[in-house]
Amino acid sequence: MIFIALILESAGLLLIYKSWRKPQRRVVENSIAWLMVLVSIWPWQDAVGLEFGICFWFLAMPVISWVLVVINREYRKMDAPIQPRNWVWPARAQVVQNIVNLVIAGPIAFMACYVCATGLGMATGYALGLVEVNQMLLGFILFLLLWPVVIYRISTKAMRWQSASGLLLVALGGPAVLYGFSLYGFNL
Amino acid sequence: MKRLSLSVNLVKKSIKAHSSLGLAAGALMYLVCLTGTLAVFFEEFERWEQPGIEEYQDYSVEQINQAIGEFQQRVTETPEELWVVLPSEAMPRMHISGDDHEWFIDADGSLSEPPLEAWTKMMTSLHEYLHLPQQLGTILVGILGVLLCSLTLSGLLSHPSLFKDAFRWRMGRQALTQLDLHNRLSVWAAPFYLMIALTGAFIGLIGVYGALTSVAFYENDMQTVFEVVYGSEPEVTEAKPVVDLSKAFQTLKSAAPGVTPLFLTIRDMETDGQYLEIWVSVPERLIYSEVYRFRADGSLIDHKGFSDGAIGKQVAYSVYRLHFGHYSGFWVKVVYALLGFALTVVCVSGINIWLVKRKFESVLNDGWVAVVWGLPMALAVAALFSFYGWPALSVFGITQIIALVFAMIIKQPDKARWFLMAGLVLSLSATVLTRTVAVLNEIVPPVFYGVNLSILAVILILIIMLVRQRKWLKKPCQQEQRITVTS
Repeated sequence: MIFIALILESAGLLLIYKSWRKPQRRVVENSIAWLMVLVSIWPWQDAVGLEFGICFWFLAMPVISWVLVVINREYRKMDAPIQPRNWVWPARAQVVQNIVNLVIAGPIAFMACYVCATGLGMATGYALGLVEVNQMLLGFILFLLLWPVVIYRISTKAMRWQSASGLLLVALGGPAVLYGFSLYGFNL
Repeated sequence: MKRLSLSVNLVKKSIKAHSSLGLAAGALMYLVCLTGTLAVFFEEFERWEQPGIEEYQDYSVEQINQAIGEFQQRVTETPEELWVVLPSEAMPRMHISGDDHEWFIDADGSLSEPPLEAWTKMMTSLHEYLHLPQQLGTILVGILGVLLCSLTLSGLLSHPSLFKDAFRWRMGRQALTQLDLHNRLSVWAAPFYLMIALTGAFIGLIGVYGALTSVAFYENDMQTVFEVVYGSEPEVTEAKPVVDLSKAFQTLKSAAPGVTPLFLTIRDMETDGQYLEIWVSVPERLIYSEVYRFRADGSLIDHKGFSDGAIGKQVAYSVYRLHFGHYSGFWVKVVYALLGFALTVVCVSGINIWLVKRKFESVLNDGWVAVVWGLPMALAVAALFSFYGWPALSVFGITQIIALVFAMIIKQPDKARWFLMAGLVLSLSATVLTRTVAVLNEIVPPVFYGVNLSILAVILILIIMLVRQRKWLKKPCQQEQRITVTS
């Protein structure tokens, strides 16, 4: 079964590669190819179980694709230009901006995301009637998804003071709200 | 294929975010990725480091009982918890530990040498907590996991021609080679990197999250938070003075057929509350283990429910194997190492792209070369000297500092890279040589030769690279100017 899964996944990716090399987009060919890749999950999970099967499907995909990338490599010999050597001083404004971003994306965003994720986890938990451990894990996983997104948003531009103060308000006020809820019997 | 339609503004912002995050975390991320890639094989490295230990996969209750008896004779105080790690296919050695004492167990049940706390331990600890105070270091590594998630997100959003370039690798020109290498390695393995990042962040930050949650909801009682996720202690009174392992194993066999015992723990040893835990791996499951608990007379108390309890509990206990790649055999480890190495290359090529785009060289180029090639060399030198009993961490640190100073003195990154690569070849060769000579007249497990052959393969690849790149030695030195970067 593992062999069938590998053949199916490889054939699907090979078809995608073949279609990719052609100048015109081929919808049918591509759809069949992606379907083959997707269907290969079945023999994978049949051979090694559902959890391992999904993992193997994910693990095989980059390895097969990289083989195709290596096959498709182009080589253009060109000498690298000699680059001048400079002693670089970063501009002071840039350093300050980076430090401000670090503080906002670090402890402030961390706390704000903790509050939002835990609150969202609690609300979802109450709505769906989840047990304590599921609520807690949901909150933690939401936090792990939310914090990177907020860090990304903060790094995209110079932080406006309105957004920064909003985050700061949530970070400082949020824990008090959560603590207050816990005092009134709302708990995880 | 249709171009993924991302707005120009979004792409620009994402590139900015991607480069700022990458630069902020680059060196630490590289260190964690490199050591993580090596740590996938920590069992093989431990066996290679201490090849004289007796190896076997079959064990008996009598053998364990004898080892426990000998352990108690050797230590002055009975430990509160006694651990017996059972042999497995990946680590066919059994060892016993309690408090600060630990010994391997021979096939006849007698205790042999204590496990070495040398290079492998130093390398895995570097990955886990960077040798900082443990809690702080674990949190920092967890934050790196969060940053890797951000980098994956910003990387995908800064790539407007994701499908158009799906299989393209233009080699030759330095900037394009690095860019295509970075993008192809990143895009195809993005789900794996995201998984590694999230599970790493989970392991690193669960403590902080638990602490905050305990303050907000559990009257600052951290223990209760962990009991919610990982289960509480059973109440045992009037236990038999000696644990009946034989009966416990029989009970386990009938209660959970098909599971494989990993290790056993005797808790509250030699007290009225003593009980036994047997940690077992469950076939076709990612959970690290299920834990079966027994009274001292061998009767079953319960199991913790990691395999069939609340979904949150199962998820929390599945992240470890998923992160380590320790499931379903040796070949999964090989694929994890390959993908981990790809992530390491992604870290390096990302910074390389930024350096090439600046169109000038500075002290940052020297420092980066010293980090990229100095780190593996420092690890190799530490492996060499730890064989002679030198402290691996100190050797590692000193070698890394020497590499940095060397690169900054010669001020030619290409030349520094060549010399550091040569240093890596020499230290790896010396490591293989000394370890092989030391066991010439001993019987060692095949894994010892397996690790040596793998290192020799790496040496061969590095020698080919060195020969191809010898032109770097003739590169002229540049005059330095001082400028200020304003944007």
